[in-house]
Amino acid sequence: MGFCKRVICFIFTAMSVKITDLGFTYQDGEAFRFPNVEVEKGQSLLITGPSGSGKSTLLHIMAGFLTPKEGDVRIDSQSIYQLSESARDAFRGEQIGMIFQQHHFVRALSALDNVLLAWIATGRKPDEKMAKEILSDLGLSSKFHEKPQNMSQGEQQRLSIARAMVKKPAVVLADEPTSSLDDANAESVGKLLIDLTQNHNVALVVVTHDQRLKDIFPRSVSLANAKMNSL
Amino acid sequence: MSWLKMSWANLLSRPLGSLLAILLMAFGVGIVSLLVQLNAQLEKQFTTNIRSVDMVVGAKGSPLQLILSGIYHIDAPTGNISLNELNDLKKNPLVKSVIPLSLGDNFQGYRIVGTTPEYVEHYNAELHEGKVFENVLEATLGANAARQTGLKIGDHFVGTHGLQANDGHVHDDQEYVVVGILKPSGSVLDQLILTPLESVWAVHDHHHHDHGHSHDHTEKHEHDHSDGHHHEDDHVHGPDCNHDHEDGHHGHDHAEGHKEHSHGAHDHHAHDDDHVHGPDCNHGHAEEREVTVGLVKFTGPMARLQLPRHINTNTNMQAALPAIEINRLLGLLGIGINTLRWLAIVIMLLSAISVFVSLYNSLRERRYEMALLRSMGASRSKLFQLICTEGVILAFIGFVFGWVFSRLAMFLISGYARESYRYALEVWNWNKEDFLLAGVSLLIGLIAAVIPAVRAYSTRIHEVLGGKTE
Repeated sequence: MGFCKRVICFIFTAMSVKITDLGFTYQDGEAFRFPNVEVEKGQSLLITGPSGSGKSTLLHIMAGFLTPKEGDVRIDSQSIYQLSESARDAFRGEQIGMIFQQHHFVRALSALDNVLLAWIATGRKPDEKMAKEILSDLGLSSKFHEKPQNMSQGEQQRLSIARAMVKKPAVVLADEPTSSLDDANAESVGKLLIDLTQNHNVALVVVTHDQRLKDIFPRSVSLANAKMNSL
Repeated sequence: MSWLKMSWANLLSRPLGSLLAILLMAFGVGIVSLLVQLNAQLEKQFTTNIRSVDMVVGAKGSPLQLILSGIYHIDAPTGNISLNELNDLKKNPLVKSVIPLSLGDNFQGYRIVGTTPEYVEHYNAELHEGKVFENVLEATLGANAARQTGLKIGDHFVGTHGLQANDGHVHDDQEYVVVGILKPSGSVLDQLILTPLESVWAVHDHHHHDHGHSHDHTEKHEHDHSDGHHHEDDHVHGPDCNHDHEDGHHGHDHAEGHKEHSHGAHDHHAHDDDHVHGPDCNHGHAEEREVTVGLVKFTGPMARLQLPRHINTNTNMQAALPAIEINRLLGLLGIGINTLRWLAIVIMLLSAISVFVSLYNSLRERRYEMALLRSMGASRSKLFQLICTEGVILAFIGFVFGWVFSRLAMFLISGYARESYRYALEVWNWNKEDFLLAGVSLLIGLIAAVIPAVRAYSTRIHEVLGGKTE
């Protein structure tokens, strides 16, 4: 897509994530058909469903990890499955931030270096100042040089959020971000995500079975009927 | 932060595995580098010092011992030979030149070698200062001998009987004077103290005179000087038998006079002057003179076939060909060196396996990290590079440690060689083989990392990060 087209598209829609007619089938025949979804910049969407309903599958398709059988995923107007694998990797590095259920970090690196990885992974020059700012905003100013595994669950979650947000991507995808937290922390993290979404003007998609977040997120979609017998 | 720093941090995060891999690599590299260095130095020493000596003649005994003592000065000589016989050999048309050497004393373990100036010329040695010895008891020092003994031009010193430091009689009645110091030549000359043959004879004549006989020598001229010649001057004969008299003339019939000397070879210098003859002075009493070895150059290839057999069969001397003996020695050493080399290669292979195991195990623990990096936009090839970089870093550190180990070992060996043989080995030099070894080490690290790197390359993010198989 040409640059002008992209700019026009951005101005009129400001649509960051758009899922259309998405279907996916695993090799063992397990099949899903996902509802169409659109999320604009600065907005958030909660995708809920019971275990096995295809939440993680949908998230991984949106991130470009899994190739759908049919349908389209557009991030910032770019159909990600039209990109080659390497271009998709680079695009993901630029435009998608990810928060995982289990807080995966590079254990050998400090908290600050883990955040800097957001740039390094795609070969860009890291912005240490920005990394420190977001860590400080999330109350981790004293943890710059701490190893992630030495931090508490709540701190690890905030570190994970900082890493996803720091490069100001088009969309942040979060997989069960609160499932391992207590009620207070779950609410706190939920609100933090929504605030950051608005402040950083990114689109946020959270997939979870954590019903506690339903009251915090203004908009949600259920995947209760996404799973099909076969496609 | 960079990928390199991340590789480094990953290695530091598992210190035991990394250390084991590094140590094994260092051990292998260390042995190989040491062997290469030793081999190079030995070959250099052997080839430099043979320096177109075609044959060595000396007393009968072990030919290898003759070569080691005559050329390399690292073994005891087989004995002495008659100067007369050596001079006869010099007249052989197959012989281009003969350099006589006379051994027997040392100064602080550095061998005092009686010889002719041709010995210095033979090794193309240049003077650092002073001059090449000319007169009796003048000494020209090799560079290393001068540095280690601290002797300077004009210094006086006395030799000690024997070839090892502090194990013999001190010739304190005969002082040498340092007249020259040679530049380092990389040859055996560096370790020697050179003096005219006559010095050695003079020192030992006095030695025997004072200690080798039971008769009383309190009076200096017990032997018969009935012919009336009297040596009040410094009567010195050069190697070519030119009489060298300070007063410019010689007041007696020399040939006759010497024939009438009735004392033995060791008594000859019991004059109150220094009456010394050069090695070619074949007038009467030269037959009594002895030297230790002769370094022979041939006129042509035929000599190699004929002379050694002729000498060994028809004379009291033994002839040994350095090239043959050194090849034999290197062959013997080679068995040990080859064994060690194979051992080192096995150790390096083990180190490769260790690097592989270290990376492979770490990758099992780091599969989430790999998936995470992929999720953050790192390409497959970046992960491949990351793991390969870790393998190469391990190998590089192993190489550096190994090289340092080898040089420390070389330092110890050099100390031993200096202590035992007065040979100075180069310790910290970088050989071209070290480039090769560095390359091979890095290649081993890279190859060992390839399988783990391929695993990292093929990381399926979806499966690792909680999804099911596609």
